[in-house]
Amino acid sequence: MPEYSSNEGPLEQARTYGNLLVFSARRSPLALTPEHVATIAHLARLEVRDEDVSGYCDRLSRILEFVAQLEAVDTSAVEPMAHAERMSQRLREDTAVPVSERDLFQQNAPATDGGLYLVPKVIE
Amino acid sequence: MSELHSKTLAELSGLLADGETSSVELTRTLLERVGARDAELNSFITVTPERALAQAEAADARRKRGDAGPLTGLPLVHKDIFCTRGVKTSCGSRMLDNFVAPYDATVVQRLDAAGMVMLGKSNMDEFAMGSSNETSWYGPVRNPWDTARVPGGSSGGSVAAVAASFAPAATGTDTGGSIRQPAAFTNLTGLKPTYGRVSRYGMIAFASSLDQAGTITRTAEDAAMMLGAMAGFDDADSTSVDREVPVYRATLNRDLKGLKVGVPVEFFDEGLDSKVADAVQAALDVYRSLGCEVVKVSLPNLMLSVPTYYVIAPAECASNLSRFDGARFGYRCENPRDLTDMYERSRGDGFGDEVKRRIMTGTYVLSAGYYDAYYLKAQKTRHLIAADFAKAFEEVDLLMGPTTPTPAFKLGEKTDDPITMYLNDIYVNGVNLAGLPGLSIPMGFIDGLPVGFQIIGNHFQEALMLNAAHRYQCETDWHTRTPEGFK
Repeated sequence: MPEYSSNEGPLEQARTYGNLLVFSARRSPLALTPEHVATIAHLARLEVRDEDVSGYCDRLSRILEFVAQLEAVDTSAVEPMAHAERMSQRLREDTAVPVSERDLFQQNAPATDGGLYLVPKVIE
Repeated sequence: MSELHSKTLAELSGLLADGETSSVELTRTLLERVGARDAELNSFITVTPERALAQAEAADARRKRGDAGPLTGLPLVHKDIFCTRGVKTSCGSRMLDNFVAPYDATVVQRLDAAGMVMLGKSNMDEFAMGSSNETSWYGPVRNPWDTARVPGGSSGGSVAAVAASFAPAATGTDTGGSIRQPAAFTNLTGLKPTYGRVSRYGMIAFASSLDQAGTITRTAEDAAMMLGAMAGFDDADSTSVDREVPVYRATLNRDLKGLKVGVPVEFFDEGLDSKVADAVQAALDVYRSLGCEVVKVSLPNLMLSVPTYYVIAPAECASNLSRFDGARFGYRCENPRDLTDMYERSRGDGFGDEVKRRIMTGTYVLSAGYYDAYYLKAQKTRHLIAADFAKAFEEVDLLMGPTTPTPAFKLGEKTDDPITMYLNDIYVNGVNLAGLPGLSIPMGFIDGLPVGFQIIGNHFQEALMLNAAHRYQCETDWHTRTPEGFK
C-alpha cells in the first residue's frame, strides 16, 4: 500500500490503483470540500447536481464530525461486533431451486428484449 | 361500546367468532373510513380494496367451514417495505414507484395464511431512513393527534393508520427505532422483536444486521397475537433463528411479583423533557405497585449508540442499496449516454436527499483508508454497547425507561439538521445495535400529545415483555385513548 505523509489533505491525495480509490487516512474530523463530495458521489454512483453540492458538503461534514466522537473511546481490547447475535452462519446444501418466473420478473425491468435485460452499450 | 373501527384485534376476533360482524363488513367499514379521511394524513401509499374484500370473503368462508384462527378476517396494513406479490411495493421511494413485487415477504405470507386481510400499503420514510416520515417520495404523513406534527418514522404511515382507526393493526420495521419511536408519538403499542425472531425475507433491506420486522397495535395483547403468527424460523433468511415460538398470549396475565426492573440512569440525561421523566416515574410506580423491584442500572456506553449507529447503518445501507442500478427493476433515467451515466442519473434522481446522504456517508466510512477509523471502530463501540446490556441483564429481568426524549415534534422542525433528527432516537438505537427486543407502550400525555414507555428485554424475552406491558395496560387506560379528530 502506498504511504502518504500526514500533512496531506484527505481526498486531494486520493489516488486510483486499479479500480480502488485509496484515501489517505487521517484522524481528525474534516470539513468536506465540493471535490470530496464529487469523489464520494462518484464512488457511490450518484449524480449530485451542482446546486446541491454545498448542501451535501455541509450536512455530510456535520455527520462525520458527529460520528468522530467515537475516536475518543478506548477500544484497544475490544473485538469488533459484526452481527447482533453471535451466531454462526447457517449453511445449506448447494442445490439448485429453479424459479421459472422470468417473464414476471421482467415486467419490472425498464427495457428487455427476448428475455434479456437491455442496458446502454458498454463496449464500443 | 366503542365503534367497530376503534376496537382491538382481540375484541374484533371475539366479535367475528360470535358472528356479531363479518370480515367483509369490517373490511368495508375500514376501507370507507380510509377513503373518507386519509387525505388528511397521507398514511397510505396504496389502498387495495379489491384484494382486501376478496381476502375478507375468503376469511368469512373459512370461518363458515370451521377452520378460522384467532386472526382470521382481521384487517391490517403492511408497511410498504414488505414485498406483496402483484401489488406495488415502493419502500417510500421514487426508485421503486413502478415496482410491482413478484413475490410475498415471509411476514406477508404468514399473516395471509393466518387469514388477515390487507387493506393496503402504508407510507414510510424512504427506504426506512428517517425518524419523522418526512423523507417519503409520497410526501409526509401527519400525526392524527396533531396534524401539524410528525407521526415519527420510519413506520409513520403504519402508526398514523392505526392511531386514526383506519386499521386495528399494522406491520412495521425497526432498524434504529422505527417501530417504537412512531408508536410512542401516536399512543400505540409497538414491538421490535429480537434480531432473528421474525424473517427478513422479502423485507427490503436497509441495514441487514439491524433490520427487524414487528407489530404496531393498540395493545400488548394484540401484539402477542400478531407476533405469534409472524415469528419463527424461515429457511429463506440466513439470519433467521431456529427456536420455538412461545404462545405469547398464554402468559400475558402472569404475576409480576418479584420481577426485577432496571432503569438505566443514562436515559435521564439533559436531553430528556422533564415531563417525560415524570411520566416514566409514574409508570415505574405502577410496576412497583404490581410487586416489581425497581433498581438503577448503568449502560455507560449508551451515549455512543447514536454515533455508532450512524456509521454502521449507513455502511450497510450503501452496500444494500447498490442493487438499485436502473438495470433490472426500478427507476431508470431518460436517455442514458452510457452505463455509468445510467447508474449515476438513475440513482441520483431515484433516491431522495436523506438516502443519498446515508449512501455517501456509508461509502465514505467503508472506503480504503477510512475503514479502520470509522467502520471497524464503530463495530468495536457496538460491542461495548451490547456488553453493557448483557451486563445489565445479569442483574435484572427487564429494562425500562422513556422511548423518546420528547413528544412528537412539528413537521419541518428537524429537517435542516440531520444530527438533531438523529438524536431523537437516542434511547432506541442501542437496542438494535445489541439485537435486543424493545417495546413501546403508551404512558400518558404532555400537552395533549402522547408519550411512550420503553420496555427492553434480553434476547428472546418477548413473552416476558408482553406480559409486563399487558399487566400495565390492565392497570392504566392510556392505550384506550384515541385522537379527538379521528374518533
